[in-house]
Amino acid sequence: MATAKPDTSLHVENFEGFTIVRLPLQPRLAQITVCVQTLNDLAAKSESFMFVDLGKSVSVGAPELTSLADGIATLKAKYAVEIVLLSEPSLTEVLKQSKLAQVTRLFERQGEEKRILNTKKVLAVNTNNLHVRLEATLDGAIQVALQRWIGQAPRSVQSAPVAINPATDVVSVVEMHVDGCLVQVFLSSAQSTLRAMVAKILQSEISVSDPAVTDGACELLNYLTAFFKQQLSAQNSVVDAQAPQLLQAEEMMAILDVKLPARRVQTALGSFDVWLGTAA
Amino acid sequence: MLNIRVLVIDDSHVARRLLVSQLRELGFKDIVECEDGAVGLEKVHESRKTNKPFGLILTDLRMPKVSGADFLLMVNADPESKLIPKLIISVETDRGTVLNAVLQGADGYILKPTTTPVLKAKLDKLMSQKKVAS
Repeated sequence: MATAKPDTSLHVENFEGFTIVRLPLQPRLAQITVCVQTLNDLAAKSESFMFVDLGKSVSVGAPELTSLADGIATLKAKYAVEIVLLSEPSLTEVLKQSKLAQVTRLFERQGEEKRILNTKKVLAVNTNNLHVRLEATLDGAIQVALQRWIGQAPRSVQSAPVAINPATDVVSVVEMHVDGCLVQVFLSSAQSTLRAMVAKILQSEISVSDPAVTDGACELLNYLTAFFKQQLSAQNSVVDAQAPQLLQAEEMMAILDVKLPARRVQTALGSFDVWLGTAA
Repeated sequence: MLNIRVLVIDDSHVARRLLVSQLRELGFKDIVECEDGAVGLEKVHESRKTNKPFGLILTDLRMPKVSGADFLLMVNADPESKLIPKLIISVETDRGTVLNAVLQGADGYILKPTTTPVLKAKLDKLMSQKKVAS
């Protein structure tokens, strides 16, 4: 009786930014799944990574996969990707959360130092790439958000080194997780500008002490975030955003006396600044 | 329609005040405002106790404490409150988010900021649908 030939093909699927490679080699190894971070969109930006074509299944011949270690080595060599190993329950958790930052934490818990470093490397590249993508879509988002918020397009949007004046400026921030990376979008504006903008929206004069003045910064940031989310979703990114918050005095200390690389948005009612922060 | 009590829930002062002024422009007089879903739930319960029920609820989605979607879920658990027409007014454009809000019991969705004519058209449609359904 002929023995059934083991299935040695690698089953590749894409799930919310992760490439999942399953190795159904032997019963013992069938429980092991390899999770490869998607590097498609990083390839253009990075010299150190190549990418796996996610749209197609790939297969590696049986002689190449005599063990899991060989399989991983083959994948690494053939596709030049960073690979992390996850047991099935962990993988389920990762997929559920779908955040690379959590993959990092998962390995920190397991104390696998080498893999932490690998994952962090991927995360750093991913973050840099994301920053480039966000910067590229920032102007578009500003245009649409401002048009919606006060019904006027900006007069100009220019790069400018910006310093915060805590006596007159209102700074708000929104935290987003984009494909697992923490991204902060900051918005800063003089109280007088916000007051003019909000008065225009409400079609009535408001006082400086009106809570609508500071709320205006959060609301404008809310619209900006909405259009970021929209544009990033169109690029198949997974975005989870919190509600915008005003930066508290102690949080503002960290950005005082710093020249922030911001986009300065000039409007008919004054100007405001927007800049991005990312944390790996 | 203009004699009904309206509940407006939004954590943004600006958005809330804009919406209230638009509702007043449309002729609504009895408008109650609150800043999140938790306070919104209290207002709904209170209105039933005092026998001054709301005839329309407009809520944002992304809010602290209790989100708009959670508010809808909780308020719709009560059979009487379930009958109140509820409109989402949000910056969210994501299909999944909108679908989720509708699944939680929203009767309509408007992208904010909205204009008075758009709001009026949506409310007219919503009220006529509810009238037919009841």
